[in-house]
Amino acid sequence: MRAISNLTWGIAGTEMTFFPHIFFVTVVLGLSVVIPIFEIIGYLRRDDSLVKFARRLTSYLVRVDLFAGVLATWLTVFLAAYWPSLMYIATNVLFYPISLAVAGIMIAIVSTAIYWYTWDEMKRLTHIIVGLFMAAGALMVPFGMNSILALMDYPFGVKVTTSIGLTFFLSNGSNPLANPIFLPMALYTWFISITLTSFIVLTFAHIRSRNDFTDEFQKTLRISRIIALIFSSLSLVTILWTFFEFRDYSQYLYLQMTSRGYLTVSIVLAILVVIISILSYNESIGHYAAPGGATVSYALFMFFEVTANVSRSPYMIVTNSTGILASTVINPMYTIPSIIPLGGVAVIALMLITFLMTLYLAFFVFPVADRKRSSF
Amino acid sequence: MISVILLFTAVSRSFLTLGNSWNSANMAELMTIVGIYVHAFFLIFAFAFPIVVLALESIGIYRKDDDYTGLARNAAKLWGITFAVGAVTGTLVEFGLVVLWSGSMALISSMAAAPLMLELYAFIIEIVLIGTYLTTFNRFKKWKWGHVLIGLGVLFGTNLSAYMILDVNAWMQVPWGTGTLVSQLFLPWVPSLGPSVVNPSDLKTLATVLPVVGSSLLSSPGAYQLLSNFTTNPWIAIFNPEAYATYFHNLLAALVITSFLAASYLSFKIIKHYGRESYNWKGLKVSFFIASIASFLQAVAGDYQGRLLYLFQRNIFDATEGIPAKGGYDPMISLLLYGKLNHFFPGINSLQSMLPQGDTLGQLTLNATLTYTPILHFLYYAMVISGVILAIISIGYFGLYSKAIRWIVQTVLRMKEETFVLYGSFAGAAFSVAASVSGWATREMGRHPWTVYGVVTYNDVVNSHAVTPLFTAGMIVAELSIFLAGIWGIYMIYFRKLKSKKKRGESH
Repeated sequence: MRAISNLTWGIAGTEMTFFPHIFFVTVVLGLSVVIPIFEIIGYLRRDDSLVKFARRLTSYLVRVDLFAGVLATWLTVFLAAYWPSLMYIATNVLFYPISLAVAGIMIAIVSTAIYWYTWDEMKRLTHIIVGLFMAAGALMVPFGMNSILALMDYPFGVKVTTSIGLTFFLSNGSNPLANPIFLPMALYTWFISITLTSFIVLTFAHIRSRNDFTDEFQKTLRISRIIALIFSSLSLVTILWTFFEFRDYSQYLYLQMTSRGYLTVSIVLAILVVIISILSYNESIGHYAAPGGATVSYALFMFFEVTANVSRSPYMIVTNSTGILASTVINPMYTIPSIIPLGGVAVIALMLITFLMTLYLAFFVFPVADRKRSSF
Repeated sequence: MISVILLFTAVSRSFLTLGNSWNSANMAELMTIVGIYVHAFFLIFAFAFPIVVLALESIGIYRKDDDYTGLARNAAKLWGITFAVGAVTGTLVEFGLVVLWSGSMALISSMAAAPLMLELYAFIIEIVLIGTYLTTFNRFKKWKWGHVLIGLGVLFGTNLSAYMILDVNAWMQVPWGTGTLVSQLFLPWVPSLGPSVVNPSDLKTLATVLPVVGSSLLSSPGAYQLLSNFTTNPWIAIFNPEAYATYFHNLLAALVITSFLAASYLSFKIIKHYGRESYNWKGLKVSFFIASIASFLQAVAGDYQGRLLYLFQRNIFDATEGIPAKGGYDPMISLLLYGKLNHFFPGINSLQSMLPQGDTLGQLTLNATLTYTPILHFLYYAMVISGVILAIISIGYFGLYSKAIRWIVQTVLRMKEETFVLYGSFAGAAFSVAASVSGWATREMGRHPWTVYGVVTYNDVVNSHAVTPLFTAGMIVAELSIFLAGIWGIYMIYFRKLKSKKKRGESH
């Protein structure tokens, strides 16, 4: 077999893991925020149908959360195995933001488990507070993790020293959350995740409302539309803010994104998402607008992530108009055997299909509500 | 109220004083200990409990007995919960590894890379298939063995995952593939550790520069270039003899604990008259039987592990067996290792005499061994004695089938065989947990001051960013919260509803 460099495997392996991971964590983040919103509104309006819908969504959240968690582990190991010095720099300079993300994982997991298992077992208000912890924990994770991407776009808080003939990249003591690129990126991630999830929820509610005329699905349509409109508008604002910060602090990245048209396409997609969220209010086209909104917001999310990463090429960390080459930070300690990444592709493809089949069985063949009736 | 506040203030001050006297490595180690034990409590269920679940399900299908299938389904819930919490805590432990012990990046990117990547593949197999297994339980009316097959797929994934993690830990104990480098560098008593597949100059650079520069060395991409082509065989950690022993020893330990815990839960139900007695007895017999067989096999696995300790980590062996520094005799160990009673074990002083001039890390190793000897000896024998008691309890179980054993149990303990099995399951659970906790503590504490025995120390790999007492306290609180949440989840499912079910007259 033709030898493939560690650099190629490093990029391929990391991207292969990164993109499915961010899709699933986006859904987890979005659901963790949207579910308590439904429960709170249901509580305030004394409307059990909204609470029932929130419970239904939680059963889906629990399933997706585990799969997203596995891919997070994949990503961490891949980063450490393929890009060890980058990983070290990140854990040193971003010690507290990453710890914040880890704390977020802990809070989210504990509160999600409690939230799920104590439904109808504790006072509604107490349950809502647990749900708010779940949302806060879920929001903390991308908040902390975005500091890594911000660092790669603009290495704020890094002290460069030279000793024993080597160049070291360590923390200079500044707060990495003060990185000007960080906040808009983190907020954008929150808002687009919630937008995407609200469109998915809206699509689900539309499908179920065709045959189910109970309040559970009819009333949720309106709330999902409002969430989609608010957060798609916020996504548009924050993506524009992000590009402004790129222009001021990460010139190389900004030039690459503008010259290749990535910036224009991203903004057009963001505007399109807002338009679709408005169109979803129209009863006659709402059925099409919801899946359309989910598709376009996912396209926007992925397009921005892919292009922001591709535009850093050939650098791994951009410093103004130059940077640290990816080939410099790739692991040189051994030649990665081809069977490892190829095996990974095969396993992830097979397991993704199995996972989707299981979701299909869980949601449509043996839904939670009908567990005692249906069987093969 | 005032006394509570005063007590709290005093405790906080004590911890802060202790915290101030500790360095980052001490803080990181404390967090890691708590994290690992929390993780271990749940992962042992994911690791070995499937054997109990699948055994119950298979018996149910083979005998066409719905009681066994019901027991399997009930047990599968525990499998699911503990797997979820285990997976989550595993992710956190992994984050802890790369964030707190960020110098271990050198290990992850070299000798541990292949095992850890294979572990990821195993992990995704188990997490997807366990979802399929739980979702389709009792759904296959025609292909019931097909459901067992899915469960075996999970078991395969779980064990592959466990093996890959444990072989990395085994490599930290016995860095297989380094040939005679460890003995040349710091620890002259260590024999050749397999074929030499590590670049000697790279390993020497890593082992000598890290203590000087600290883990911040790894923030330099150039430093990695100095370590290029570190190994020619990235698979070597998987084929470490210590890994084989560690895997079987841990698998059996997990099986003993989980099956005894399952047995004690069913015993509790029988004693408290929760559910149908015949139903609970069926589950109790199967889980106790599995625990008994695993306890016997554990004696063999433990013996093998001990032999490897003697062979590769003589200083730790001396400490755990309590061999005096100037040497001495231990007839039992002598018999096991040499087939005679009077072999002389030289002790730490003889290892000291092997150290070359200026070998400060070698000296530090022996000092640590001497410091930890009392506690290592205590923990090691707590494990061994617990193991012996477990074997005795396991023999007692077979009184259900053997008149001779039944007679011995009734004569010695003056109780019915059934009573012995009921209460023996609680004792089995307690002693198996004690054995496991003390065994793992012995293994990890014995390696001090090394992260990778004879190559890299703890202080070399801790993150160069300061780890504060407040941060440590916060993380430990979070780790313990996860533990309590997991326990609470188990309580909600398995204990809280027992009373209400009893009132409703449900048999399961």
